[in-house]
Amino acid sequence: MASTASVAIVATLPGCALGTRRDEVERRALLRMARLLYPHDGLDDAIYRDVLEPLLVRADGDGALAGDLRAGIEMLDAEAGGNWRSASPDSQLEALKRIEKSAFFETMRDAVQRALYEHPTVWELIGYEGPSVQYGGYLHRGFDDIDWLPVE
Amino acid sequence: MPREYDLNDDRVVVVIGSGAGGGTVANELAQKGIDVVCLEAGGRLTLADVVNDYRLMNERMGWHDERRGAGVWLCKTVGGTTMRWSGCCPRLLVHELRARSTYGAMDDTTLIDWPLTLEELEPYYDQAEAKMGVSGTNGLPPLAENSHFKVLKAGARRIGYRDITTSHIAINSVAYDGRPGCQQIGFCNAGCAIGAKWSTLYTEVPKAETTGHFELRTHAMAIRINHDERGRVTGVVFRDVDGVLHEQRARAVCVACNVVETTRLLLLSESSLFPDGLANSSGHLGRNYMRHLAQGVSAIMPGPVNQHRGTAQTGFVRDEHRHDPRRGFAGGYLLELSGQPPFVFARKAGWGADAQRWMENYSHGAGLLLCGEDPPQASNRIGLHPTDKDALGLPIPVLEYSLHPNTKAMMQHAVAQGRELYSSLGATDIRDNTDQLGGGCHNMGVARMSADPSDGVTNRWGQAHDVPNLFVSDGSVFSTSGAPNPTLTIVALAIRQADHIAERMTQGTL
Ligand SMILES: Cc1cc2nc3c(=O)[nH]c(=O)nc-3n(C[C@H](O)[C@H](O)[C@H](O)COP(=O)(O)OP(=O)(O)OC[C@H]3O[C@@H](n4cnc5c(N)ncnc54)[C@H](O)[C@@H]3O)c2cc1C
Ligand code: SF4
Repeated sequence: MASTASVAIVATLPGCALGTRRDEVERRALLRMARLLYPHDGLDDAIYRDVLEPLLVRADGDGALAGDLRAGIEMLDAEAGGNWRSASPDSQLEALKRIEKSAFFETMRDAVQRALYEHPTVWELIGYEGPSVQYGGYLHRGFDDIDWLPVE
Repeated sequence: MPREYDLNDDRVVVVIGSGAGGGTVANELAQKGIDVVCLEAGGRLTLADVVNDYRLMNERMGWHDERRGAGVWLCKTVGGTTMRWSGCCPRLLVHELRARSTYGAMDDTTLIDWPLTLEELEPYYDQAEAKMGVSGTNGLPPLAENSHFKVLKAGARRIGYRDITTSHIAINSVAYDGRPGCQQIGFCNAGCAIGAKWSTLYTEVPKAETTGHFELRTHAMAIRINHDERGRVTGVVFRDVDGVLHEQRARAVCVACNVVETTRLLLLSESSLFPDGLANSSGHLGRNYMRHLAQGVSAIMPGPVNQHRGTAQTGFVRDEHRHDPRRGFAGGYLLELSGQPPFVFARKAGWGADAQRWMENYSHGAGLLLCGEDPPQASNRIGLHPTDKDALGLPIPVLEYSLHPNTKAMMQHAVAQGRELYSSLGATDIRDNTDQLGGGCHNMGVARMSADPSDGVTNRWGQAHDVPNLFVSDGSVFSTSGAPNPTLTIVALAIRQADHIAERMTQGTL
């Protein structure tokens, strides 16, 4: 399928850009966290990588943000008693739960949430049909086609 | 034919802002042959610039200058927030204009009655509805019911509600006034690409331009209103697109910058005569800031809903829009349909498995917005940061806002009703908003109309108590909030104000 092919390309192309910016370990931890925040099994890692990209670009030009991200991962490592990313999925989740009031958690959640659910690949997965003006709206595309409501 | 007026022409009325209030008052004055210069901080889009992309449209039309405190989500563009609004247009009820008399003294409020009656307002509501193409009025049918609305209606009926309607929405249910009927595009809050939803960008502004009595200046940010030694306003200083300052002389000034900026402009216009801000001898300017109970309830329904298909806020339930203290609070609220794109629906998602369940069921999602009366409090106020400046070098507005206990009691009731409505149809996962302050879409108060000049900033015409040729033409003049979304009332008051200004000019008293 076309989407698998494009996923493979996305994974190889900007990956090196990410690698030069942030060390690989940190990048993988953030990627893992993004997936745990909004876990959709049907989504390839490449989507989460796309979604994180704007945050990482911002961190490149913003030393304070870069520091916050690094400190956040250290916080997770501490909560997991060592290396958070190599901990079991359950311990990873528990560590996340313990830091869910932190500014780092908020930063990650805000960044991932908006970008993820604005991603057209995700729309397909969740059943959102997106822009409609080019099709004349939903007027002739089922805007009122509900059929399961109880009849009174 | 658009006009161009000289900066020294002091016969013009300067209207600041081109949104619901400013666009309307400007057009109404121009229609009467009164010369108007409208200063608008934003640029002018065309319908071709309106695309189905929330992020891009926010870049194109959103207000991005810095603000602190409680958030607001407004626009800087010709048309103002009528580009982004949903179009719900309920009328205030008779008791809402008599809040102090009806509810009695409420602790920690500055409740007053409006200095005008519903009877006086009604003819202007009629005119506003005709102007805006409000569904179910002026021979226009109610809006078509989309699937999402049918869910709201079925649930509402199950829990005993009867007053459920898709009338009172300023979206063309059929072609009207040279604009097409709604095509159920569903991106109402990113601008209506076909102009079916009323916005001053493609109604009031071009209509004013055809009179030959109107000039729109875009990228013109008003930063000060000047006055003479008698305390009458004489002109408006504005910053053009290149950052150059000019003064437009004026016979009278109408301020319609949407509450936050209206407050800032009047505070910035302080002088030795008005040391606490222009027209602020009462000390009420910036205070009594109101923004409605605005709480969302969403649910995952047993079957597909496709809330994104069609009008975002197609209609509402009015049964709770009444004063009935037996419910444990004063005033009332509306249950309004609220269709949300995924990135908004996600705000109730939580995270982890919770989020997965919520978002993967997006197609079965339904939602409503509870919109209710919020009493005025002196401590809810908009002020200026004492030291911090924004990119234009102006003091940053600071919004202090907290919910009154009456609003919290109303919220509990309203959320319980909303949850009941969806569970009556078999929804099991029902969530309410964590944002207890609402979105800051509806802004009111800060320069309220009062019978007694010591109780507010403006009189029953929205004319400043202190300055006879200064008018406020936006939601700032609301004496109390009532439950209804504010824009129909803003437009009705603006039409009424234009009549008053014209009359005073004819009499030679303005
Ligand atoms: C998402 C959303 C949905 C909404 N839905 C509804 C609804 O269904 N029903 C309803 O009744 N209301 C709704 N509203 C509220 C509605 O948009 C406002 O009530 C209405 O637009 C207010 O009109 P206004 O003229 O006061 O301000 P605006 O329409 O915001 O216009 C103010 C204008 O003034 C300009 N301006 C500000 N400061 C300056 C300055 N210093 N110099 C020059 N120009 C300046 C701005 O750029 C802007 O164009 C909604 C709002 C939002 C955000
Ligand atoms: S649903 Fe109707 S009002 Fe909303 S954007 Fe579409 S055509 Fe415009």
